[in-house]
Amino acid sequence: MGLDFSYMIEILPLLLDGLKLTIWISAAAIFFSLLIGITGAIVRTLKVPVLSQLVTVFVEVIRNTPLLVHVFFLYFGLPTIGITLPAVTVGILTLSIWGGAYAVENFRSGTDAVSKSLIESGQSLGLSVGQIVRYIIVPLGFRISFPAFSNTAISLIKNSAYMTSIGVAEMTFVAMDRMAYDFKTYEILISVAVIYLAVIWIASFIFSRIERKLDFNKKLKGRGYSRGRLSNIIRRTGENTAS
Amino acid sequence: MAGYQILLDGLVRTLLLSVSCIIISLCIGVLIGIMQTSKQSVIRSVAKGYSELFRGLPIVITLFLVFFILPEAGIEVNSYISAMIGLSLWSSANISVAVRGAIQSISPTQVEASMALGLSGLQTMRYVILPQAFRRMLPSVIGLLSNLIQTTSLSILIGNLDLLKSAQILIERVEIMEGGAIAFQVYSLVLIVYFIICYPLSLLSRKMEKKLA
Repeated sequence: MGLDFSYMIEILPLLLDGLKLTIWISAAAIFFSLLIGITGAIVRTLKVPVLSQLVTVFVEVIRNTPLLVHVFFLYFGLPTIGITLPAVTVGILTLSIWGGAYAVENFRSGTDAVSKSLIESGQSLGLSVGQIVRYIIVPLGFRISFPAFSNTAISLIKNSAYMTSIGVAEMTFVAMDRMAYDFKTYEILISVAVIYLAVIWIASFIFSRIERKLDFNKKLKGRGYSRGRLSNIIRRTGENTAS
Repeated sequence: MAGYQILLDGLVRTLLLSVSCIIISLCIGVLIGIMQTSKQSVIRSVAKGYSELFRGLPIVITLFLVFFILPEAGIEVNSYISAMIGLSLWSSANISVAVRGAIQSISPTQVEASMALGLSGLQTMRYVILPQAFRRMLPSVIGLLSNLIQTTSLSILIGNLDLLKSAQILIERVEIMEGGAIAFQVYSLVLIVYFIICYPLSLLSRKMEKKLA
């Protein structure tokens, strides 16, 4: 299989153009799933009546149904009841909802691990619920569960390729489009694969730097967390976020 | 009720694809996971490379790679077989990481103890490590299998006929023949069917995890 390298260089600008949209969609989805995740986790940890059950249903439904069906449901299903959304909006929306459901579980494992005695000491100091959330649950729970969330975030970048199915011109779509014109299957697919691996590798690097910055192990020492318990939580929540 | 017949056929094909992928990826995943804990650095790095590659690539790209590149290399595959290969590569890479984690969580003193008893490396793996590791990895592996079942829906991108594809066909047919738009109802039904398949699995996974803790 002789690879046509000059062709690979030729289509690189096109692919990178598609990559821009991939990154943009992923970044927006990561941001929104972070918001959904933290909010949902707090609601569930504080056991807010009704809302807490709604979050549980949301998480279970989203986690147990395929992302591609969500995409089709929003893009092809909603117009029949009179709601038409542009493809890019559907892309960001579905990825955010999907990532948000996983993020709720990621963060909940962290916020649940904030020891009851810490929350009780907060209450005895006269902190309001809002202050307990702001100063105890979020900083501690967020730090512990961030590594689990970064797995979800990286899955989001990879899953942005699902949007090819509804014609969002992200990198995979651009690649498929070129393949239909030029029939240079090897060259295009290999270029795309290498670019994805590089992007994922860079993203993992950035997230590991953020994790180090949050430095949950060092900062939590002497705050009622044992290392064993901590790594246990991270191992458990991290593995289930594949795809 | 011709419509339901189409959906039912699709469901059967989805289940068939899921089961074959589950069997293949469990076999390969366990093997690669064990290889990742090998003392031989060549075996270890090959296994690590495998899991890094197929976990790093988006599953969409893996499917396209298998579907377009195997025929060019002279291997004729239809979209069903390509989907099976692509999904198994991806899922086995994920499973291998869970397997490796479970094996490494077994304390090394157990290996020393079995060496002192005169067990060979293979026997240690077979009688000491794997039975315990198996119980520890089961919750996360079941979670991954549920993920795999959901991801089989992606196979429609390379032209495989499954539940989601038959939903599309049904919607188009009704649109053309009767002029009705039923996309909302049909996709809702598809969501419910997937939920019914996957929810028990995640309940099972959670129950086992609680039992372990």
